[in-house]
Amino acid sequence: MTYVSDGLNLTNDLQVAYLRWSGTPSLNAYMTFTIDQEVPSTFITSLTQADTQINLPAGHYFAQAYIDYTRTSTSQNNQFAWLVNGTVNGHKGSSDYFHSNTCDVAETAFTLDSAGTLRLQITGVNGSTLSLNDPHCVAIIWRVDK
Amino acid sequence: MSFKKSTESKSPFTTSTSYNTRGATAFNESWVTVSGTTPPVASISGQGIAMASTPVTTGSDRVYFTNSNYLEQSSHCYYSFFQTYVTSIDEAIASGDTFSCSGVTNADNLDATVSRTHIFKVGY
Repeated sequence: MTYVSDGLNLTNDLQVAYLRWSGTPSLNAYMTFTIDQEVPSTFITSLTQADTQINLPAGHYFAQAYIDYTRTSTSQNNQFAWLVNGTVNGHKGSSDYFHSNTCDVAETAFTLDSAGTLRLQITGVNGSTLSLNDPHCVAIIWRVDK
Repeated sequence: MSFKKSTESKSPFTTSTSYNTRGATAFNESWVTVSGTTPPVASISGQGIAMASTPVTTGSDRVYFTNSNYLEQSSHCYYSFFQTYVTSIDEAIASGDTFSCSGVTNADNLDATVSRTHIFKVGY
């Protein structure tokens, strides 16, 4: 069967990857990822750097990181951020309203013109280090082709 | 779900790049235009889904997008000196082609330094 396009009906499929992240959230540490699922098709090229680096193909992206944690004091707070190709990008997240300069979900919208990398780094620690609740720290990466 | 392409290069994902105490005043994709300041109103061609996470600088509030005023569509936030338990800041959500924030009790207290709004463009 053949379809004739009118030239105006180009579409981009949305892809979503659901990952979990863990690790010891000390200052400047990179968090470790495991891929839970990618729908409707896989797009993450690989995990490297001891699974702290997500390797991605070219595309338009929106990434979100949600934290779940246990702390022994309300003064224990963490701040975290996405790094796109090694540079902090987007809005920082936090375990709490960290020093009045973060919200609670780390989020970034970015475009990769060619293959690139995504990492999640702890960028601030207030008080002693808290404990992440594995596997409830979640990252969601939305993608469309470029 | 599919996104119709506007061009080969535009992203359907955009995030706010500046805020005032009433909402997002600019975005990082050119398919969003913003007019006004109290509140700023973001307009897009076609349809989209917007999400806003909005701490407040004083007091507490329920923040929602105009015409999306149900509790589950709202974000809830409060400020405290010790910055505790405010991870309950969640996101307001709405769909449509224009987006502006409203607050129930403190409409002028959104934190302009950390609040953010994202829009996913889902069609034309």
